[in-house]
Amino acid sequence: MLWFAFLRLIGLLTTLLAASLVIFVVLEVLPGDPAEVMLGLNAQPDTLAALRAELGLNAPVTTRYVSWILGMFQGDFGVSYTYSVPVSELISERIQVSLPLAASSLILSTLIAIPVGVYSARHHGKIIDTGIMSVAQIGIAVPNFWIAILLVYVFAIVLRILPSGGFPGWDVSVLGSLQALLLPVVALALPQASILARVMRSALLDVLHEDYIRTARAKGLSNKATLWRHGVRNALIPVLTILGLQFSFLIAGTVIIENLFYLPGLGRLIFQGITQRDLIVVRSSVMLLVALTIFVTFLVDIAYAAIDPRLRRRA
Amino acid sequence: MNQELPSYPPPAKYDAISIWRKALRSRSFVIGAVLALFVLIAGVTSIFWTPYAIDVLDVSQRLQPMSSQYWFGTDQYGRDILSMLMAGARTSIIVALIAVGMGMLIGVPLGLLAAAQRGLLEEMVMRTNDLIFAFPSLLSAVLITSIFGPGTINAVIAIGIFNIPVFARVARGGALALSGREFLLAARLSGKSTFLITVEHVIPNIANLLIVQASIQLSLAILAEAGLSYLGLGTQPPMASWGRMLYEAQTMVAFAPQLALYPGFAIIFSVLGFNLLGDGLRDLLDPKMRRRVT
Repeated sequence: MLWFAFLRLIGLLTTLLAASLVIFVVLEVLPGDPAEVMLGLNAQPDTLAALRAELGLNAPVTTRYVSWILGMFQGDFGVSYTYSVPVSELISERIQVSLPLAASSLILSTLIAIPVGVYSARHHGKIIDTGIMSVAQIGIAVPNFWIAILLVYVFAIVLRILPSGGFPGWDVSVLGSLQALLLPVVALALPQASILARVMRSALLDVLHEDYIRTARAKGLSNKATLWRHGVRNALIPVLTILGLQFSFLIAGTVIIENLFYLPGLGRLIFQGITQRDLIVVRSSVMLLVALTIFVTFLVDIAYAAIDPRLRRRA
Repeated sequence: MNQELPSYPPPAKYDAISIWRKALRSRSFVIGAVLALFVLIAGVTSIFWTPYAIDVLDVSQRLQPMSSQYWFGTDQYGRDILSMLMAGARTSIIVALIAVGMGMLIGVPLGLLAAAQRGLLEEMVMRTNDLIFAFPSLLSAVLITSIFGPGTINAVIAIGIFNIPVFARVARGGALALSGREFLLAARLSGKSTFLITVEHVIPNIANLLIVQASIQLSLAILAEAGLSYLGLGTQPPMASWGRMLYEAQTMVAFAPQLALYPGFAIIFSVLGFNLLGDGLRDLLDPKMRRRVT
């Protein structure tokens, strides 16, 4: 197990290194002169020169890459060009919105999907199963930003019980902040829940055909105990994999949803950074999100191997 | 990555009539095919004809309700919604087809190469795959379109890149599952080269898997295009896009909520269509998978 974790850790570090190289090349090498990109076409030559010096662009590419990476290890993410504050400060501020948003939608979608999937599998082939799966099939096809617009219309414009956007901040009003996150969380969670419910159902149906289910029933375990202790527990393995994959979708989803609800989160920070051509903000925040995704994949792999010993030997 | 190799049906000879009969009995396939065909026809028609021009703004006709003149009414700029939806279908279909085609054309040969060569090359292809998977897809698409400028072509490239590893995986998995089968050994014994075996025996036998995956990727690409255009990074006006229509409708949602409904329905309609088509095809082409499919 330890050896497996070690091998995976090496893989994690290589992927991180490669990802950082890709981000660096896309943002620093491909556009030509980042200072020109940031200042636009009509920049004065002296402002350009000043920015170049400030960004350290006169140094060779390799030096710039190494100092970026070393800086990040020391918590120095550079200083934002548009906000004139350290990027690390921006990120730690914005993550207070994005993290609760992503985590709550992951939890909400799991809380909906697992009972619904189990229920559907138990009533396999009946009308209720077909009905639930048809709803889930449609749910997968619904873009989260469309649900968001409808939710805003119903709850913010017609009923006027929830804000249509904005974020008061945790230190100003905890209740207000929770209210501000409610609609975005639901909008992100519903399509994810549809996917997860389908995976839960088909994983459970697969497991219920296994011999050990029959054994459990034969040794006198009740239907219910068999279902939960042997069925659902084993079916959770593929669900876990999908959950890990969904994390990446969730991060992408926050870019759109945070924009739609004017939430000051990481996704919106990156989007604004891109539109304002603040490459310093974009570079480090994208790296952070990619690192997070890689890390979650790593955790899922480890959890997988911990649950299923057969996978350890294969590595 | 812990992925199971897909199970594989024997290389059966399908005769066209029996498969067609089976297809018509599959609910997923029929509904999916009808929906997808409908979107396709709407998009193709819009190349030659739309009820009204979509690039002419007529403020005197703004926010018209549904009528025999404007079937779905008009938007805040006086453009006919039906015409916009038809042109949006064209954008979605073109972007999705090219992006998925790009993923297939690059991904499938890479996957087959990895399966045929094994060793270092395979390791390189698969690690590159992992790397692309590590980038949350829409996030990188946002990155690409913003560095190289917003627009349909860059959106296609951005979406296409994320289709490459998907097809590489499916092709490699399918090819590996075939390796060791008698008909491949027989081909090798008869002196055929690896390349010839791949072209003549492996590709026809993994075509099923690829077709099913392609229809799922098409639906994902339609969603991605809508997302990018919603953020203003995809299709630019005067071309119509469902995502862009939703973005414009959002500012009007308090006064004209119906504007947000139609593009949303169009997206759901087409994504659902390609998803169902994929499910139906999987049932038809790969009987072993039927039990797992929901």
